[in-house]
Amino acid sequence: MPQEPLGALSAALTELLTPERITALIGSVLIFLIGLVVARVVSFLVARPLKRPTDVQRVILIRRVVFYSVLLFFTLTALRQAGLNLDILLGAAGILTVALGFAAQTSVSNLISGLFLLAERPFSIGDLVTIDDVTGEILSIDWLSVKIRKFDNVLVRIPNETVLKTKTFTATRYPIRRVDMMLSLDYATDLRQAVDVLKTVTDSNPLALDEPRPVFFFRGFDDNCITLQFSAWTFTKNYFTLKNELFFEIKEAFDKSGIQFPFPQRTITFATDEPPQIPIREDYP
Amino acid sequence: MNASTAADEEARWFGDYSVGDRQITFWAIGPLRLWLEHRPLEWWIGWQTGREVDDQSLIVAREIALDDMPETVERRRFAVQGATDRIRLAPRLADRPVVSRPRIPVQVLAGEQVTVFVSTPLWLELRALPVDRRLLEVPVVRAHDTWFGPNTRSGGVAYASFTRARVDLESMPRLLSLALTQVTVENHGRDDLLIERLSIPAPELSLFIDRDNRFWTQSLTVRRDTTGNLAAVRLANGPPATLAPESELIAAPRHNPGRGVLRRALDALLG
Repeated sequence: MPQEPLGALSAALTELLTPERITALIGSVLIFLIGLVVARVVSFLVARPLKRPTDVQRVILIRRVVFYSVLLFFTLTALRQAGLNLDILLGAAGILTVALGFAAQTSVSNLISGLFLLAERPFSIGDLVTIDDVTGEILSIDWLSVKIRKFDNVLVRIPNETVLKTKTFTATRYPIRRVDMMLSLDYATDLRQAVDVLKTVTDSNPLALDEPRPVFFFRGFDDNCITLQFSAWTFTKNYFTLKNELFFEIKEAFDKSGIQFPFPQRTITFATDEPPQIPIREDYP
Repeated sequence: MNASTAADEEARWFGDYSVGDRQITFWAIGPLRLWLEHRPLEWWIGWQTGREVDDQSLIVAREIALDDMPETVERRRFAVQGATDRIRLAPRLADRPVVSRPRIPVQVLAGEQVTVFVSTPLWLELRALPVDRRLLEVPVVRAHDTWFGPNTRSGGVAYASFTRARVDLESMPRLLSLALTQVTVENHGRDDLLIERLSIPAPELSLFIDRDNRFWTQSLTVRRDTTGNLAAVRLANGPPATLAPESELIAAPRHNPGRGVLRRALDALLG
């Protein structure tokens, strides 16, 4: 008989949803909703005086901590209003945490890594970084992942745990940056003349900093060339502009001075004094 | 047409000018080339800034044909409500500190003082009249960027001076695109003070011109205190009267220096 279970359910609901219980439930939902609004407003007000362009992460961290603390307070109040015994709930929370820990291991790991990232601040929003072979601009540091916009306008999401484990390079951390260029010079090149030419190039480009002075490193006698590292400093914001300009200017200056970039060469020495016999094929088409 | 040379002592390139409607008017101020064209409620401005500090070209408000304007010129147009055909060309000091080095570091013994002269590059500000709205600011000569600080992580952005800091005014080149600053360093510390480089707080200085049309900033006195770590920079009311006779103020500082005394760490002034 289908009437019987329905009747039992109806009776149970009537017993549970007494007018007092319904009032308590509505009250607890209202408290939770008010808590959401209050948490949002309080976190905004607390973070607002701290808001500076360089401290975006700190502001985010403070906002999140304040928001969730206030929300937790209102949630517990709402649960108490609904008639739940919080002592039992807190007791169950330990078991629940273990269960959740196993079920959402990756998410929790990313969550905790995200907190470490916000506290450690290896980079900020807007920084130019290389993480796990991905180079781009930091768009956001979220609970579970870091979002990067690559230069080809592709969005890359890297889990926080990966960011914490891997090497990160922040190119825009300091106000000045060094432009490194590897130059292969012909063995016939007068190295002092080449260095003088390079000095002239940086002296005539106002984006290359006067101080720290450009530096030269001799990198070695290689198979086909002498390798020279030439490094000039610039403001970080001018890095790519200067690097591009130096390529043009060095090439032009070397061309003008008769300094050549070498092509691969091989010197072959024969073991005997006899001239080598080079067969000539008559039937070659 | 109004053209002159730098040798002309009376030549002053700044001031208020009227520019004919739809007529391109040209200025050459040292290495800076400037083209202005006025249209109804609009200004068209073209400019080229060079690094040739020795360029002493001076051409003031010469009317030219459109074909005489190079294609590579950087151009911008400004819509200004209430603008007439009048425009103001005003010299300014650099928007960053200027760093200068003596050819050989100067050692100031304890209790002694030394006076050096340093040059700072000029900028040009264009303002639409009579509404007095700023249109554009460009360097008259493009100085090298530089970094002034104890290491590559901490410090400040600055410009490198075109000339060495010198103790003898006569050895300072007289150049159209530079202003002079007299700096006196007093060493009240217990040990010697080595001056390897000197940072001039150009944004906090006023600009003057003397009777001979030479640009000056007000004089500075850097006083190293007895502890040796701090310095007070006292700003005079103007350039030295004996060296810059009948000087007149032509530009206020970009940043208000307060009561005329700047307190800085010694490292922030002398590197």
